[in-house]
Formats: sequence, structure tokens, C-alpha cells
Amino acid sequence: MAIERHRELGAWNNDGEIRLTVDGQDVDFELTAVQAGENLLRRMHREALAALPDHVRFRAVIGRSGGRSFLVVGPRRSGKTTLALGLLLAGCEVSGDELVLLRDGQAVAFPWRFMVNEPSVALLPPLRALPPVVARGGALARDWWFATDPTAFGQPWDIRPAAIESVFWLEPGHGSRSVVIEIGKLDMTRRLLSQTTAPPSKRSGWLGDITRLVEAARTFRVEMGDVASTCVAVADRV
Amino acid sequence: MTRSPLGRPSCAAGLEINPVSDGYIVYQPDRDRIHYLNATAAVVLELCNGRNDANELAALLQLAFDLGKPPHDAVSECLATLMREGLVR
Repeated sequence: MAIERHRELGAWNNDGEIRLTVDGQDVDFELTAVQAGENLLRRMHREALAALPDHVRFRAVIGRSGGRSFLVVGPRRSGKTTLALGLLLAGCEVSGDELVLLRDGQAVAFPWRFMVNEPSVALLPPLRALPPVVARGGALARDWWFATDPTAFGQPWDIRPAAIESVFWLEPGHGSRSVVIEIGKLDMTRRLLSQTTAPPSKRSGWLGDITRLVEAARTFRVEMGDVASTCVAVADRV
Repeated sequence: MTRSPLGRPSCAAGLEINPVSDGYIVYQPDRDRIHYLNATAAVVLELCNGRNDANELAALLQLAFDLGKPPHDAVSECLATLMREGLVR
């Protein structure tokens, strides 16, 4: 893809506060380096997404297992990030755990780092060995997180468009063994659309992109019990 | 046979119809709404071509799904829903 836009983001120490600039213009200030970095990262992501107005956006995990691509879709707090990390630990390639872009039948991860929080670490103890890159604390365990990416797991972070062969709808279970049920295309499309944002351009045919993806893939509903059995169940179906 | 109160309904213009193996996902641009049609509703929508009244639709569905008798009530109900949602006229 050709580079279409350039922005120069800056952070300048200014007597205890950090001044943020875009193309030389002051846009904001922050009090700590971490907050300044997060602020610039948000701006960078916003700019990057604005440059892709024709792409459909899903809240989903995207990855490959045995050379076959899959999506895991689900509402917030359904366990997508925990499952993505579990799949990485199990040796699957996972390139995104939050935002997936779709156009012309090709899905690709938006390159966000994976945000690991304490509940995920509690379920996947090997995560404690990962070197945290940016960490924040909070009053509650779920406010604490660090950012990581597949390279910390010894995997390539290979972000490239792919046709999806399996789609999983994730629902939180209750700690028992996971259950995977094949579901119909109409059902999956309805679920997938609940986690979809239409392309900002509202181009015609965007819905057809989704239905063609669903029609071409095997579609499953997963009641996520323990992480290990979910990882096995997902990898087996892919 | 009774005459359909809907006459010979036609699929509304401008709909974006996306087929999947167990139905249709229909985008209605003028209302910015998405409709999920199961297989039966999808067949009814297809047959709403301005040439079939409700009785003929029921007869065609009887043939299509190998039913013992024409599903008049189901067709009437389906047509009423499609009409209410603006998918047929």
C-alpha cells in the first residue's frame, strides 16, 4: 500500500509538562511521558483509520493456525484478549486482538499492541514472564495492564490481508470445559454485525463484504470455559 | 381461492440483497436498516415479482418445500411483515 499521508508528531519537554505537536502545531499537553506516548499513539491510530474510510471494522481477534486464517468475534469482556494470548502461547499466529479491517474479502489486523490485564495473567500464568513495555496501575485489578505483541511470544507479528476460513463467536462460559457449536450463516452475520462499524465512507456493497466472508467460512459459537480447552477447540476447528 | 389484499406484491426498489446459505441479509438504504430473512422469507421475497398474488405464492411455496397443502397463513403473515417493513409493495 502506498503512503498517502504524512504527519509529524512531536513531544517536547516544557518545564514539567510535555507539549504535543502535530505538524508543528500545538495540539495538547500531558504531565508524564507515558501519558504523552499514549496520547500520540491515539492520534496516530485515529489518523491511520481516517485514511481507510472504505474498510469495514470489527472488534475481533484475527490469526492463523496451520496456515488457515480465523476470526474470533465477541462483545467486550467476552474474553477475546485472553483467548488471543492463550492461542499465542499455544503456538498459533495471532496478529490482532481488538480491531480487524475488511475490504474486498480480505481481513487484516489493525496494528494495535495487545493490552494484557491482571485477569488475563491470572488465567495464563506464563504471561508473568513477558517483559512489560508500558505498564499502568489502577485501584482495581482490571485497571492494571501492560502492552505486548506476538514477538514477545517468539512469533512473527505478520500483519497481512487474508481470506477468513473460520469465524468463531465467543461467549463467556463459567470455567467448565468449552463448548463449540457450528451455527448458521444468518445467525453468525447477525452476531458479527453487532460488533461491526460500517465504513465511514458508507460505500455501497460493504454489507456484501461481510456476508461473503461469513458464507465462505465455517461458523461457530464458542461458550468459553477454561482457556486451555477453548484454545484446543478453536485450533481443532480451524 | 380468495383474492390477496396485497394484490400482486413486488419487491421494493433499491434494496441491497445479500444471500447466505440459510437466508438473505437485506439492506434498506432509505431507512438505513438491515433485515435478516430466513429461507422461507427469502423465497417469498424472491417470488414478489408483481406476477403472483398471495394464493399463488402459497402454491409455489407448497411446491418448493414439498408441503402437503399451501401455507396460506404463513405466507399472509410473512407478506404482512415484509409489507410493514417496506420490503415489498
